[in-house]
Amino acid sequence: MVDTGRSVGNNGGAAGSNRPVWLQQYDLIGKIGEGTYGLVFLARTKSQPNRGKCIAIKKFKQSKDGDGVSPTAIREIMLLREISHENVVKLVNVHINPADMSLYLAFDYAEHDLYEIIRHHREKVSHSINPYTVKSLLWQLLNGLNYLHSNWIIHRDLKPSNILVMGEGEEQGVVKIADFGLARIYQAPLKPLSDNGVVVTIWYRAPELLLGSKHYTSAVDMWAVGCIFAELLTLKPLFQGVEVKAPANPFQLDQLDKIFKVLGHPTPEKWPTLVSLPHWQSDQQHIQGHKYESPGLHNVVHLPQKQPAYDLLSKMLEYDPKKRLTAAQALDHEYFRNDPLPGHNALVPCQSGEKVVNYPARPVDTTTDFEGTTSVQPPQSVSSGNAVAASMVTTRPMQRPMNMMNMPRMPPGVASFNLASQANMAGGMHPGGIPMQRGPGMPPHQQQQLRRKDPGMGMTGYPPSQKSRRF
Amino acid sequence: MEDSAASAAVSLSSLLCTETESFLDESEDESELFNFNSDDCNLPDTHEYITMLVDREKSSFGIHGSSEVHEWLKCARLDAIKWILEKRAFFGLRFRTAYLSVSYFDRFLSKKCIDNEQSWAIGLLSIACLSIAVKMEECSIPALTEFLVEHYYFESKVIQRMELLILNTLDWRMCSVTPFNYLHYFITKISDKSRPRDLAFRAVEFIFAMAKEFGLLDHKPSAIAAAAIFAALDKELTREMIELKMSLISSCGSQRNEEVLSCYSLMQDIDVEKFEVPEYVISPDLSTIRSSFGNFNEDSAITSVVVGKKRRRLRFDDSDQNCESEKDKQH
Repeated sequence: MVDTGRSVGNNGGAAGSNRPVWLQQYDLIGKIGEGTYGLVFLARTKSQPNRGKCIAIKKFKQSKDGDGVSPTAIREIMLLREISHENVVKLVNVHINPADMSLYLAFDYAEHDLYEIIRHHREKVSHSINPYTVKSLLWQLLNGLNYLHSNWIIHRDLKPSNILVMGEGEEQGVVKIADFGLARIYQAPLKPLSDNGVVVTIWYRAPELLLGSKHYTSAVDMWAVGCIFAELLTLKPLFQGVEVKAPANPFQLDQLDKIFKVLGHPTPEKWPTLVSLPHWQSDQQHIQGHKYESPGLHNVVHLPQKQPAYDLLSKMLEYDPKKRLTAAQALDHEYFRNDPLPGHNALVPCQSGEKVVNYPARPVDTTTDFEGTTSVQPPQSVSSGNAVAASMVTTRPMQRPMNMMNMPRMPPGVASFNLASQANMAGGMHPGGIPMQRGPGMPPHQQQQLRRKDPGMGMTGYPPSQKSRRF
Repeated sequence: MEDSAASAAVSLSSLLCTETESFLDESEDESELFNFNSDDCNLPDTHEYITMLVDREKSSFGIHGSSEVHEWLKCARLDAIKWILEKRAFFGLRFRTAYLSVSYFDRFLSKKCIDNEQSWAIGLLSIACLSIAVKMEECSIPALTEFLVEHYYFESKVIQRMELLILNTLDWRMCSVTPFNYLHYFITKISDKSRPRDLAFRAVEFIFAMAKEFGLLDHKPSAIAAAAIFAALDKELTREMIELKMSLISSCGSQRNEEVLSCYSLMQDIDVEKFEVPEYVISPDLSTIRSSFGNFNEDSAITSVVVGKKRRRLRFDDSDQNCESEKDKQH
């Protein structure tokens, strides 16, 4: 699954004809995401068998000089190699650019994410997300999360922009959990969130973390799911605290205050370990000073308290992480057994007559090249669909006919990292010469069955499927 | 040369003793391993966790077979492990980190060959394996340039290329299960000793003693962990006693007994104290043992006993590819 961009006659340089070979497998379409981790690009596969398939390519920022391969990249790729599930993004390739040793991850592209879907409803559509779609999205999110948790993986950064939804194609409307940059497997130690140099939004952060707990459990993900559930219902973030920007994971009082306003104050009676949390003890005046008596969650989410949806939501937003619903328990909840039943294609309700909302694809910045520098090429628009999809009526703002030219067939799969390429890479090795020979029994190339996601990978390229299977 | 070699020699026992207090204080994570006061093991999901690990290791161990290993490589490997343990002590890293480094080292060499006498490549491999393990496991990560090996200086870029070569060669599957995942759980199940911490330390010694003697790919981590605890408890346990204790670790299943017995027999012949003896203490007939313990039986246990007693210091004039000659060529 790993490609080293071995190239003859070029050095894996930057743009144009000097592109490394691995990059020549793709038509770059544009940039679809950016974060502290690096950049995410949308590209199209040129070669068979997946010609025209959209791929999201995440380029890791180069680590600081002298630090070697970035720990975030190692942990994220390692984790993605371990997991394979329908509701988790699929990593299809890892590319190493030999010239500068930068790392690129290629994922199946998911065209939508919950952030854009929610925003579309809030700003462009006058009605809320239909109940079938909300339930299907939530069910699939929990299904993926249950898989992760049962494999001892905690995501730690669930938020709407990290929950992807596949566009047209055979996986249309399928949720993919993405972005495992902060995820944890087994019992590996965790850095405090702020130490990773990653800004994690506080809106989805569990109260035990806000109160200074260093003990992560899978319950932190369930809190985030509760927040996301509420946001799907109301189209607004549930707890929109104002973040204190400071190094070293500062105390986020406003975020806690927002939570307390809606859920009422936590009490040691209901949450026994509360008293042992650092900030609860150290900042009693502020935290325990305000008292919010009447919990108003049902008012905020406009749900009658006797509805299963409300019951499920309130159990995900349980203060005590030990009492908070687990993903497995949530999947068993009555809410998912009532009509409308959750479906495989969250975007297209089974019931005839239901209005199908055409969600826009995420915006693509077509002026940025793989180096992250802005190019002068004229902006292109992009289509989520292939030739078949293009014939459908769609509201996607950016359309580009698929390139139907016959592309040269690419070498199958990915060249494994062999010593020839290493020879190329190791040009600067200190003690000269290439000391290693290829040993016997190199395993056959394995397609990576991983998933990962980022603010921005979408995918298309399959014939659209209108069937909406039920689970 | 003797001096540098002597300084490179590591006494695991002394490392453990001198560091006990500091890592308990400084490293929350390591203290998990040695803290037996908590009720962690009574959590209902601990059993599930162990079961998941056992399932996971099934797919990645015991499939490698012991290929012929050159004598110089065995020596180089031993030096590499000593260096890794030394760095572990120096930087206050977790035992698990050191163990993972060695497992990367072994897995890499099971897939790629390093030519005879390329001792610089072993040095580079050691640095890069440790660096990757540190990035996987540790919160505080030393700069690459702090991982100095003797005789060679590697630029960061070179180390980074080596890291990438290792990551690629191992298919980015860096999250191996290690005996340390099991140690705490097994001790609470197996041992009724009043001082489980001491037992844990002794078991850690056996785990690394085992790692030095044999490749890490031939035994399942759960079997190594269990055997190390038995060896630390008592080196004269009978088969029946071990089987009785094994029944306490239900997650491992009875089919695990043979593997544990096999590891235990090997450990019976390792005197961890002997690792205080300076450099180059190796078993010259290692390959004999390795080839026979694929299908372990009583005979190979006896073989290993004999070999264990034959441990000796290899000398300069020992045949072609021993450690001394390898060291010598570095100069």
